[in-house]
Amino acid sequence: MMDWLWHDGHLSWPLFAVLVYTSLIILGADLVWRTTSGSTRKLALWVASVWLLGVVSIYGLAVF
Amino acid sequence: MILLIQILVLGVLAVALTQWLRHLPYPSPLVRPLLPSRQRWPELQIREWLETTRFHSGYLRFFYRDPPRVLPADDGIIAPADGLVTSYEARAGVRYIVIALSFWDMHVQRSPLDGRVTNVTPSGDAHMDGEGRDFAFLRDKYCPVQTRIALETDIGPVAIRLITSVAARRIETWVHAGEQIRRGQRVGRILLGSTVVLEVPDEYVCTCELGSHVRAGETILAAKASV
Repeated sequence: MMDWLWHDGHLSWPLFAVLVYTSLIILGADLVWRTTSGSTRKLALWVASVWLLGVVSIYGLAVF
Repeated sequence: MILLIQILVLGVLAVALTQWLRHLPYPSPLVRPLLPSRQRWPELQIREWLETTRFHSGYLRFFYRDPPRVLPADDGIIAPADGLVTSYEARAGVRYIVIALSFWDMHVQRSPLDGRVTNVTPSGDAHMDGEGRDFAFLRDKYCPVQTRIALETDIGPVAIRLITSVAARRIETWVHAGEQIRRGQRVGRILLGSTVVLEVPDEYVCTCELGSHVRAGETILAAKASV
């Protein structure tokens, strides 16, 4: 379990990647929300899906 | 070393997220430069500033902008202000072309024609002035504060009314009676104001459609009606 949080004296790469990815998704979604006129609900659904897909991909890359 | 880089990257992102959270629902300062003016300064936020009279310095810089304008090659009466044409009714020999300015329009007004300033008349500064309240462009406003700049031109008497509400009530005029002014010359500025009315003889018609956006000093706004 510790390997997922801490590895070789620094944050584990998957955890680091998820933190960076999540922050960028939030900031990017805010920008898209402000510049497009579509439904907020639809956008939130898209963002959640893209975020989940990204996190699963990071997990997949870390495991295999 | 790797840990240091990770902390640095996460630190930058933490600052960006904190700024984002602090300014919600309005844009954070990091995102603002990337947005078009209407999204950069949302109307709701500007209205909040109007109540507190504490404006963001970036918005004020944006509001006070005074870009140069290129006069059109064609002769004609040019728009005195940036904004939307909302009406062009004629009464008693005068056509009133109303331009509504938004919070994002440039607020410096320009002369529509060459001419001589005959009068600069401020009114309604303290309370409801009552003058001309039967006009649609004044009826919608609470206690309109206005300055009317009258010009003597080759086509006859022309006037520009700079109108604002009693809440904003600040109008600057940069010309005085007796002064000879050129077409496109800056004549004044409404500070956080809202409406400019161009008065021309009624044989001149508005060449722009209702709802179209015009630019001060650049758009031909009126021309003599063809018989």
